[in-house]
Amino acid sequence: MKHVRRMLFSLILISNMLLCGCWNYHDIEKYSLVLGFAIDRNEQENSYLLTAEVLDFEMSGKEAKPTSKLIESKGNSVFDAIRNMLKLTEKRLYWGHADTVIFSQDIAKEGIIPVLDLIFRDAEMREEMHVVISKEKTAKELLEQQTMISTLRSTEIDRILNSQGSLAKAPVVEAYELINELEGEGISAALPAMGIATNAGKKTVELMGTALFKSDKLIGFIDSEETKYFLFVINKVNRGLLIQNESPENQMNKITLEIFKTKTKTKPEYYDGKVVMDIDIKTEVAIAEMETSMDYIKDVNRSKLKKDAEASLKSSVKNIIKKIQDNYDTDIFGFGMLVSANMPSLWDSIGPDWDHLFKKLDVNVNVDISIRNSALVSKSIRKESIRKEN
Amino acid sequence: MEREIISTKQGTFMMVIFVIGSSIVLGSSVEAKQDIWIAIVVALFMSLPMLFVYSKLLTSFPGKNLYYILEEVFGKVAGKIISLLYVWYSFHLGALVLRNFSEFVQVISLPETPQTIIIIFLGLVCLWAAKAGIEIIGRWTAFIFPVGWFVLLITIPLSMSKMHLINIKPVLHNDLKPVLSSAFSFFTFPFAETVIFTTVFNTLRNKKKTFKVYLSGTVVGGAIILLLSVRNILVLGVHITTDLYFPSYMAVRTLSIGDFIQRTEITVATFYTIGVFIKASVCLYAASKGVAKILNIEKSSQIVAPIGFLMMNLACIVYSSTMEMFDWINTYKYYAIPFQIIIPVITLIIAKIKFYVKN
Amino acid sequence: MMIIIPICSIIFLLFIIFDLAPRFIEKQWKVFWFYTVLISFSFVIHILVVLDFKLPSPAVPIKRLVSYIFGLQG
Repeated sequence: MKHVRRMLFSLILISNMLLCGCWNYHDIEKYSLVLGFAIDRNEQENSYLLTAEVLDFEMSGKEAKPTSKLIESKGNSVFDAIRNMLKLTEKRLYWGHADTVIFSQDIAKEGIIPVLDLIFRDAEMREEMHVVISKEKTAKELLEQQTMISTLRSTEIDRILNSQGSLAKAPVVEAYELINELEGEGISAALPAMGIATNAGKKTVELMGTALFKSDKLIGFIDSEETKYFLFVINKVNRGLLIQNESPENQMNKITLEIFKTKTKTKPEYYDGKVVMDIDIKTEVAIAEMETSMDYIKDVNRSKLKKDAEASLKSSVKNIIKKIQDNYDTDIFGFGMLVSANMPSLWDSIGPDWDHLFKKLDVNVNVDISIRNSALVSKSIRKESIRKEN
Repeated sequence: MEREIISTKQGTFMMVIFVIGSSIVLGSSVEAKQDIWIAIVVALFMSLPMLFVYSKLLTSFPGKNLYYILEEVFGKVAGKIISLLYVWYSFHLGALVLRNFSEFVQVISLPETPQTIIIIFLGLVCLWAAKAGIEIIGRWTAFIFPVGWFVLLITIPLSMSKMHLINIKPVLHNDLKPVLSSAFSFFTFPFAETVIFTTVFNTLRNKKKTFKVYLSGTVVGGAIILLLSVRNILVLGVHITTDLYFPSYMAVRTLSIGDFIQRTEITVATFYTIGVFIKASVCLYAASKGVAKILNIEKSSQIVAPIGFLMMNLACIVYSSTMEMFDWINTYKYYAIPFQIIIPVITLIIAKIKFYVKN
Repeated sequence: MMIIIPICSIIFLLFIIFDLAPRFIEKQWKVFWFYTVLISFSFVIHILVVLDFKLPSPAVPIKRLVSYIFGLQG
């Protein structure tokens, strides 16, 4: 009797532990996975238009092929729009797997914080979602375009952003980092921008540089090439290419250097009432492609290439900083944050005036490039006549 | 009186889990901002004298728990009244811990489940453990702890690539006052909450090691809290950490290595469940010991169940919203002062005077 | 939501049968009465909580008392 009693008792207690999670259980068949979504704003109606890309399966023969469907819905707030989707679909949508969110330019110009709040607050949505700004008129257009390789539009956008590690042409920002940048002092947000391009007859989505923000409002774009140098400043370049002309006179023959390792150290300095940023870029590259016949085993040529590359990287970095200072006046480099972290007492006095100071901030750029190797080949392919000269 | 015995190791592990129990998820004090690690270190040093007081109390009366000591020192009536205060404190603390857990579960994963259900089902398990006695809790702790801390700490090196050192700068720029105020919060929650163990550690096998158990338990627990807090700040940055209710959960949530180590935040939730379980069980055990002592009931395990049910009730009604719960933390640090500092110190002083007079 | 009431009742009933009844049989009256009073009180509160009665939280008077003693604001 006692034995049975104990068994019964522990059975009830154990099942208690296991069953309390089943209170609001959901069958997976009753859910559809959202892969990504786009948010537009309707000015006249003062409402949001939400377009979600939902995973779907297409039976072809015996195999199920993943495809996707778009669902649109309107609402007075973003969450209202999400719930309004229940008017359209039999299934509830599950947002925990969404990895891309696209904002339209209108929303970005008005301010992204109201829209971002839901992503941050909602328990289902994940904070490491990628945030993208649409360069087109609306955000939903991007989801409507054809895909290149994958069949899922949002997933492809997500993969494109993830592979920026070896291209360095867009800042990859996850939602929580974005919130930190928006809330932080002395730093402005910069997000990847995407637009529609025609590729081999298909209309598809392409990365088109960076969208610049001041506080939470979009104020402009820079293109992919400039983005690369911007990424150099904020030390987010992982791999990527540097294209170098053989000489200023000869623009035709280019040398491509592949970055293997690069590190940027930015330090604020304070000399007689002026803040100067010291940017130290240390890069290790390898020669990846050559259109010239130069022999880089020779010391002289190698150091010339090194010097040229350093000079051009330096001027590009300086140009982009200058451009941002002159045209946009927004501290996307986080220089202000560096000052406040390293010289807190100075920041207390100059912080409120930072917008003004940033515009006239002096920047020292030091570049150190070391050429590690030249891949498999020691010399490039040469015509016979040139070979004889050497 | 039933005799229960726990080993030094079990005692230490219990203490560690008790200390990190609810603090690993709650972003308890946000005033210190990036200097939170200084606040924790200061709080640890602040708690050292109190730990000494607690263990001195226990070693002065070997084999007796706090309730017995109170009656011995203050006499029968006054002793019982003060004992009742401690019963209330541990009872209330247990209820708060249960409520924190149910809020956590509701906010992060089950928004539509009524909290009553979560509280009842975790509460029943705690009730079971407390009924089984401190020996069982101790043995269970010794079994789960080695797994638990590994799972908890492995997330720190894994999130290394997402850390930014700049988040912790500038050091000590915003005045010392918020840091001290934060340190005081950390002192009352969780370090000095170990006052509850004065009702438990009379069961330690080696009475001489009481202070050692107190010290190592709190220091190890404190070190883990320190590591996790610094991790949160480094990964998420100051602004997000202070905005969030449960920063640890979020910091682990951002972790993803390749495509295969991700969504590991469940480890935090699991460890939190373990912590809450231990903490609430120990509180319930302490409360029922006290009631048994006051009413002269021989077996405290016989009255665990009704007290446990009452504790679940209190957990259900104590707050009406999550916001209220986080607001309470500001009150708690003052509310806890008499239980954690004033009464133990006075008791020890009077006890010492009595000893002195006797000899 | 209402399903909680039968669940709770079963749990309480089990405790009464397996935990409280032996006290009655063993004639431990002090424990028995203490147990009975407390568990019936808990049961009533449980039902009230489930039925969404607004019960006063002890946290509020404590908070007021603490702020009064320490002179806190708010």
